[in-house]
Amino acid sequence: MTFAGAGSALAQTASTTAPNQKVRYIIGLDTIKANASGQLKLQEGVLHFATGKAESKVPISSIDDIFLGAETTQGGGKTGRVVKTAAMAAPFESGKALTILMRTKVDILTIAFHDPDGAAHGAIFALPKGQGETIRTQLIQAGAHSSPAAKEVSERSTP
Amino acid sequence: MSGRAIFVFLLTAASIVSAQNAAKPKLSASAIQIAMVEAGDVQIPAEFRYAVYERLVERVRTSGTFQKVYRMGDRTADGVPDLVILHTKVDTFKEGSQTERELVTVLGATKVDITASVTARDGRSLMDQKITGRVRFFGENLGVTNDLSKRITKLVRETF
Repeated sequence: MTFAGAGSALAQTASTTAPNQKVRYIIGLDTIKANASGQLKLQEGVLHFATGKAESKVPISSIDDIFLGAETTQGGGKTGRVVKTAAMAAPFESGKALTILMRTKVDILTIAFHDPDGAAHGAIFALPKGQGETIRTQLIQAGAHSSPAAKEVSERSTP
Repeated sequence: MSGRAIFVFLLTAASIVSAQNAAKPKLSASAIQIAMVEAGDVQIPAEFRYAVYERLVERVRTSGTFQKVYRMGDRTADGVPDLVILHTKVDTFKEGSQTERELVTVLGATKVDITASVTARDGRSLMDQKITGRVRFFGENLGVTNDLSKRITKLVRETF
């Protein structure tokens, strides 16, 4: 999704941030497959999310709100899911121990934005714990809008 | 049972089915706009609201029930005369725990109760129903949004 129409964003800060390597995209970007892993970075007033196969761009000026939550979920990605499914067949439900071993805390970053027609979108990402706040701060510094209510939500959320 | 009796029975059954269908005629609209999930006073994390909204847009689009599916705020929807709007309002939300669910099957379910309604441009109500979404056994808490959007889309498909 490239919103070239909201071009004023391109005139914003030319700063580039180091990409976050292990970001899992959950939903909200039309061109990216759900649960794809990729890199999230800010470059020249645009938030980029790129997997090996596809890329999506959101101009920072089109961001209406940024929410930060947290969740305890299963780590290990696709491999972890396969291993845990296989472990379900283990005797005496011993495979359940994997549930404890494989759990991990993540930040859930929700970015509410609009396209050139004014249509509302919400892109949701899962990031390693602690990185959500960093991205949020960088986005706000680059000019993204974030309401005080969104901050309250982020402070309330617990895994 | 004679052939005639079977014929009469089938004819009666067919007329009952057709009468039921006649009682619930499907509505017609070429386009739908999905409104953002309203939380009201219910404390629900933003990611749940946006995930329900995004999944609804995706599922209603895939269902092929409408020629066009618009998002909230889309100005191109302004000129569509027979546009209907899908509203969703959260009634209750209980966030469970994926770890609890997978260790002790009966605990840790995530549950969301929602009122889904469809209105015409003039505000006339065309559909109004309470729906519950759940994640009981495996999967992330956000999986509840998938269950919920699936149920709402099914309801919309049955209405239009």
